[in-house]
Parts: sequence; structure tokens; C-alpha cells
Amino acid sequence: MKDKVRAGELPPVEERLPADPIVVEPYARIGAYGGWARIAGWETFYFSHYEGPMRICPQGATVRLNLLERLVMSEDGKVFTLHLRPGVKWSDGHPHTADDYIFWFEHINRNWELSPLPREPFDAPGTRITKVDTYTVQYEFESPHFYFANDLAHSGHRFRVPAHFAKRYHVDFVESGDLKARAQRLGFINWMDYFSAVVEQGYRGSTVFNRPTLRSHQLVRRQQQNFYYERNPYYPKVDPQGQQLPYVDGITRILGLRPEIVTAQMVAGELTMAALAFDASSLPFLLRNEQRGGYTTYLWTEYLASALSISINQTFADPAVRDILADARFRRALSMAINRQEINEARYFGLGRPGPMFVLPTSKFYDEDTFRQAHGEYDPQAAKALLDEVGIVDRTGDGRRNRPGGGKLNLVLEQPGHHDPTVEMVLEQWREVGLDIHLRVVPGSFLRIRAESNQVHMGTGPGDRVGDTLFPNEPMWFLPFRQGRDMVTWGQWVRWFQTDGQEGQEPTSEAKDLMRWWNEMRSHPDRAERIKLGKRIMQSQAEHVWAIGTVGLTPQPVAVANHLHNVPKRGYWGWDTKLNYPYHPETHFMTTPSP
Amino acid sequence: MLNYAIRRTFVMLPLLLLISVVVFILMELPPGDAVSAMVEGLEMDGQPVSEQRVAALRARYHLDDPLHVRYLRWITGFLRGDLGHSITLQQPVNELVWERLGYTVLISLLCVLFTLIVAFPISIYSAIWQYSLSDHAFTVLAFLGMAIPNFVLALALMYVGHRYFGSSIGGLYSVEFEEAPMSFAKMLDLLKHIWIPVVVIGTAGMAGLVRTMRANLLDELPKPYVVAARARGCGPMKLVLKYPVRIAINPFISTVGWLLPTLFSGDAIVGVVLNLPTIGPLLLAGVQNQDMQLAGSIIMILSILTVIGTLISDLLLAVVDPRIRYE
Repeated sequence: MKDKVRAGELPPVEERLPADPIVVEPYARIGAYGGWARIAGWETFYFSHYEGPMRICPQGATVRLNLLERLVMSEDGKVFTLHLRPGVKWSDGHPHTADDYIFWFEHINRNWELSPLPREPFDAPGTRITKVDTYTVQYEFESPHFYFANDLAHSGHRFRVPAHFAKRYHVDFVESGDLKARAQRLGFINWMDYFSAVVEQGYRGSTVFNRPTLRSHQLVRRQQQNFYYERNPYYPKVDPQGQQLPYVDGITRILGLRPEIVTAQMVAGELTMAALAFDASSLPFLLRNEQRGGYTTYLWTEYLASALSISINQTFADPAVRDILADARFRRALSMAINRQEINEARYFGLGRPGPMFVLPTSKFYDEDTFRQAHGEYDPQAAKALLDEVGIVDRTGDGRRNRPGGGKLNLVLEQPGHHDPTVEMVLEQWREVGLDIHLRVVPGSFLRIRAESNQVHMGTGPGDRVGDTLFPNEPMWFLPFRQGRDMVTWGQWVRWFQTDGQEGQEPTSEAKDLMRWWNEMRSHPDRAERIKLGKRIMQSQAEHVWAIGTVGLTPQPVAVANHLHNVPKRGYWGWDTKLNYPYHPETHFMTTPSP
Repeated sequence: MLNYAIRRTFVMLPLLLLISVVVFILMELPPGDAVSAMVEGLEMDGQPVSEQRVAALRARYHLDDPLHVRYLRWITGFLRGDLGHSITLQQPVNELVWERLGYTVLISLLCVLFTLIVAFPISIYSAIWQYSLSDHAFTVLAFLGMAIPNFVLALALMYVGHRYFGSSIGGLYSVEFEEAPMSFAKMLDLLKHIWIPVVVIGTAGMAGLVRTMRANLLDELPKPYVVAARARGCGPMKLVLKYPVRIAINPFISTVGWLLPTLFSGDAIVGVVLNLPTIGPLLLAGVQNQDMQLAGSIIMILSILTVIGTLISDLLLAVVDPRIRYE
């Protein structure tokens, strides 16, 4: 950096930083500049994080300011005023202002061609955005939205783009013939694809270099299998001594590595940090090879109510099957037939927390009494009794239970992507109470289509969105809010709600209650009442067992090279916390590896 | 002969057209399309995608057009040299293929070389000393190469390479050479890595070649012309190489044309395991994501190369073996 300043390519650091930069306290100690990190694929994102207006706190329960100086919510929860921190700049030195938010809202979110459907929570027709001054922007919602700050923290980085840069690629600002010709010349199907590839960096991160960013590092070049990221000279954060962050000079992102190869590379000492590729079963191997690979394995905790959560289709097309799946007693029996203690010991070294699908104990919406009544205790006798009650009994004497009317009970549990041994254990335990359920591992996209067309009996997924950041806005495991690859519980009900009753199946009154409570929960002016409504949703989950939990808060190995510092020994690793986002990856620093 | 070549060339055209239809149908058979893969990516990134949005995305990529319209769009583009656009990678297929072609051809050529250098001597040796201990040993070895799944062998060799030769895991270069400009040292580093895929892919195809060559040679060796040559005092080395081997080589020549598609694709599984910048993994990703234009175009190129290769084989065979003549 200093060389560039001397050469006149960059202004001195005081001019690059805001007058009042964001001070970040490193986890262990003040670091030193230098070093080049090698990170595999997706994990790069978590080494150089998205910077949003707000950020998530280490426990995943609260949010706090990041690029904002102040966030003001009106009394009624409808108007949010974002006061941006003046002097924050994009990586090309252009100031980060209200215009960047306005541009996203008006020209991306509201451009039908570009965004066929506007994004939650901005999709309500009455939502408005106003530029108050250069550094102040105001959102106004038709109905109250008390958890908007959570959105700003978790996905706020998506609500703005570098307007000065994006203008060059948008039909509203460029002669459209020109733009289309340019897009076509570069091989894009249309200008929208060109725009999202360049400005939104596509969903896989197309190769556009030096696109202005607010992250600690920016993509600068590529070479065969590697992407290279270099320090953002305008990054607005400093350590307590006033040294600009990040400490690490650059990152090599290695594309296309399989998880096994990530493990092998870590063990061979070729990676700086890795975690996404691992799960609890990687732990013994990682620990055994620490010496050789020159790294240390930290034991973080997965931010999940259940590492493997099982959803059961309530709206299956065939009524004979649906009657079984939609019977709460059947789901309770399934839940009570699972020996979670055994799974915890065998799969997670006893380190997880066995239990039903529920919010985490750290959540405001957690209620110990309800949790205990949520059919999460192992009780095979009670499970068998419940199955008998539903009429699922063994009629042929072959040890397998039949359908109520006789005939085989052919149920299939579908798992997206890779095979997780926990499922095998669950299926084995179900077999012990006489339920013969088959497993099918299918590619995620394929499972999504099958779920969309209502062909799936049961599905599996990671039980996330169970903390206070995401649960209020996306409680997907607990009510008919969405369906997808990992979530098959109420496809037809979701469709019914999304189309205002035009399509899908009419939900039961319980499902309608759930949606009503949730809507009230987000908009009720009284905080105590909001929490009560959230707890009521949990009561419904406890009673109806909409999803079945197994073991949560499971160990997540985080392998860190010994020459990388300031990585906490313990932490949460999950979608709710955006993996290591709360732990300031920009303060990681590297020393020379010891020989 | 020339007549035959021209006739064959013309027959190729409808054949390729038929292949293109089959490729397209195969790609369309499984439910879902590239947008579902894309949506999966978005969802894994935490962006819930509603069904209306999925429908709109399908419309954006013209995936909701009728089947024949999509086929015509793809194939007419293909004929103009436009391989289409990968929806999931958001890049033109031309670009994707081009940037990976170099290493693919390099690895495949080395594989062919490796196979030939190893397989020819082994098969000749095994045929001459039929049922000897070394014949059995070589046979077992060749079959092992075929029987061990490529990815297992790749993993094992990667371990050996790392443990005993200190080469890095995956990829074609060590960390310190990744960004360096091409130099002698970098070449050496490349050689330190590239032998793994070459040996893995090479050994896989060896068994077939060894067995056919050996069998053919065994047919030829007792024939009167060999006996006659030997009776006239022709040395054993010259005798075998000059006559029987030339005939026994026929099956190799008739399949040499298939090298062409291999040169282009490399081996997908080995490429994925070893993280090689070759076309194989690209094809695999295209098929997995149902990225029609990406996978379809690569398969189409492979088909064209196969057809051309077969033609070349046939013509070569006619040149080499005077017994084969076309009317």
C-alpha cells in the first residue's frame, strides 16, 4: 500500500479512511500486515465478508451497527431511517452514499425485467424509499416491520450496489441498443444477465475484476483454477491502534475442490483455514494430523437446532398417504422413536444437544416448558402405542407395520445432495418400532422439483433459522412460509398463501393460525406480545411436530493454520450467524509459517 | 478409395444431425433444468426463491419455449460456432471450453503416449512368452489398472506423490508456481504433478489394448509365413516386429480414431478428484446442473470428433493393411 501511495496511485491512508473509522477489537491481539491466505472455494466469502449496514453479534441473538452511524425506527415500526457513516468509500475510492441504496431499490428491485419479483421485505406495494441527504436514506413500509434491523444485518449487503459503477450497465442510464450489443458481444443472453454478472457478481461470482466492493478484499485477477483477492485500500475499519484493516494482504481462492481434497490439502498444510468442507466425522482425522499439517482444529458449534431435521409432507397428493403423514400422532411417534442420545454419542462424540426441532435456548422465543413437551424424548413404547392408535399395525406378521387399510406402507425419505450417516441411524431406529422407511439420496435441484410437484413424502435439511436474527423473518421450519430442497412440509399450503388461495390446497385452520400469529408477531407494537406470539408458534410445533429434530448444536471443526491468528477458539458456525461473520475475519493476521 | 471417403463424409452429416437430436432429448429427459440448479444455489446462499420468480427466470432464459424452438436455437447457434451460454456459470461455453482446452489436450496426449509405450512392449512380450510367469504378472497388472476405480487410484497416487515426492495435493502446480510465468522450473513442477492423471487414465485403458494385441499376435505367430521367415534365419526381434506385429496392430488402428474425443474431454472423474483444469469436470458439472447448452455442446463436439475419428481410422486401416479394400 505504501508503495502505491508513494507512487501517487493512492491517496494516503488518512484520506482513504473515514474521519471517524470503525474500530474493531481483535479477538486476541493487535496484528501485523502481510501474508497471503489460501482458502478453498466458497469459504473465501467467509474470510472476506459481505459488509452490511448492520452486523450480527457473536451469539447470533442481537444485531448492531456496522456501516451505519445510527438506525432510527419510528414508534409505529413503519419508518426506518438509516444514517450512513460519512466517509465510507467503495474500494475504488467513490463514497458510499444514500444513492447506492436508492439505485438498488429503484433500478434493481423495482425493475421488473431485472427482478421479476421484488425482494422481501420490500415486496409490499406501499414500500417507499427516500433520500433524505447524501448520507441518510429512509425506508417506509405500509405495515410495521419490527424485525427489519435483522434483515439489514443478515442480508443488508444485498440492498445496495455501487451506483456510480452499476449505472454503466443498466438500461435506465445507458442507451439500450448499446448495452444489448455489448452484452451480446460478451456472450450473454440478455442485458439482465450481463448486469447481474457484472454488478451483482452472479450467484457463482463471475469473473469481473476490480468491481467496487465494501469488503475487506476485492477480486483482482484469476488464473486457471484460482481467483486472487487483494486488500481493499479503502476498507473503513481500523484496529484500536488506528491501523487500517484487514491485516492479510491477499487471498487465493481455489476453485473446484472436493471436500475430501480440502481435507487432504489442510492436512498437507496447504490451506490457511477451512471449515465448510468438514463435519463432525472429519474431526478424528483432522486431530490426528495436526502436527504434520501445522494447523490446529478448533471446535466451534453449529448454529442449528438440529443438524438433521426431517420435514414431513402435509399436503401429499395421494389422500391415503396424506392421511398418515398429516396425522400428528404419526409424527409424534416418529419423533419419539428416535434415540437422540445414541446419535449424539455415535455421530457427534456426545457434544451435541439432543432434542426436537425448536428455537435455540438462547432465543427470546424459547420456552423450557414447551420444549419439554415437544415429543423429543426417546420412548419407543409410547411410539408403538401411538402407531397402533393410528392403525398402522403389522398385519402380516413380518415385523413391518402396514397401512391402516392393510397393504404395504411404502414411505420414502429423500435427502438432498450427499449422504449423511445420521439418517441411517434414524431409519434403523424407526425400523425397531416396525416402520420400514426407505432412503433416497437425490441431487438438491432435483429434490426441489419433486417437492414443487408434491411428490415427496419426507425430506431432510439442516435445522437452521432458529436464533433471534432469522427466526422472526424466515421461520421456515415452523410455518408455511416457503418450501424448497430441504423443506417439504407444506408445499401446497405455501402455494395457497402465495397466490391468495388461487392455487394449492386450502390449509388447515392450524396452518392459518400459524401464519396469522407470524404476521402479528412482526407487526405488533408491543414487544412482550411479539415474544408471546413467537412462543405460541413454538407451542404449535411442540404439539404438531411439523418437523422432527435430532441433535442440534453439533460440533463444527474449524481448522486454522498455526500461522494464522485472531481466530476465536470457540464460536458459532451457521447460516444464522453467517458463519464466522461476527468474529471479524478482517482482523485475522498471518505470521511466517514455522518450518 | 477416394470415392469411399467422399461417400462416408456425406453419410456423416445426417448421422450427426440424428446425434444432435438424441443429445438434446437426453439432456431434456430428466425433470428440471438449469434454472432449478441456479435456484438451488440461491437457496443455499440463503435467498428464498418463490415459484413466480422461478417461472420468470425460466422465461428469461427461454426455457419455457416449446421443445423444438429450443432445439433449433441451440443447434443453429452451434452450427455458427456459437456453443451457447452456460446459465449456471454465466459464461459463454466457447470461453469455458477454450480456456480449458490446452491442459486437456496435453494430459490426454501424454496418456496416449503412456499407454502406447507401456502397452505395446507388454503385449508383444506376453504373446511371445505366452503363459510364462511374466505374462501372467503383466496381465494381472493390466487388469488391476482397469479394475481399480480411477478415483481411488488417483487418491492413492496423490498420497504417494505428496508423501514421497513432496508434490502438492490437487491441481497441476505447486503453490509457489501457480502465478509464476512459464519457466524451466515451472515445467519441472508441472511434470511432478501431471504424471498422476496420466498414469491413472493411462492404466485404465491399457488392459483392453494389451489383451487384443496379445491375442492377435498369438494368432499370427504360428502362421506359415513366420515359420518360413524363421527358417530363413531372420532374427527373432526383426521377425516379430516386421511381420506379425504389423498385422496384430489392426485393432489398435481401427480404434485410434477414438483418441480424438478423448483428447478433447480428458477423464471427468479423475479431473474432478485431482482438481484439474480440464474439460471433463466442466462436462460433469454441466450434466449435473442440467445446463443444457454447456453439456449439450460439449457432448456434441465429442460426437463429431468420434465420427471424424472413426472415419480416419477406417481410412488408415485401408492404407496400412492391404487386405482391406473398399469397393
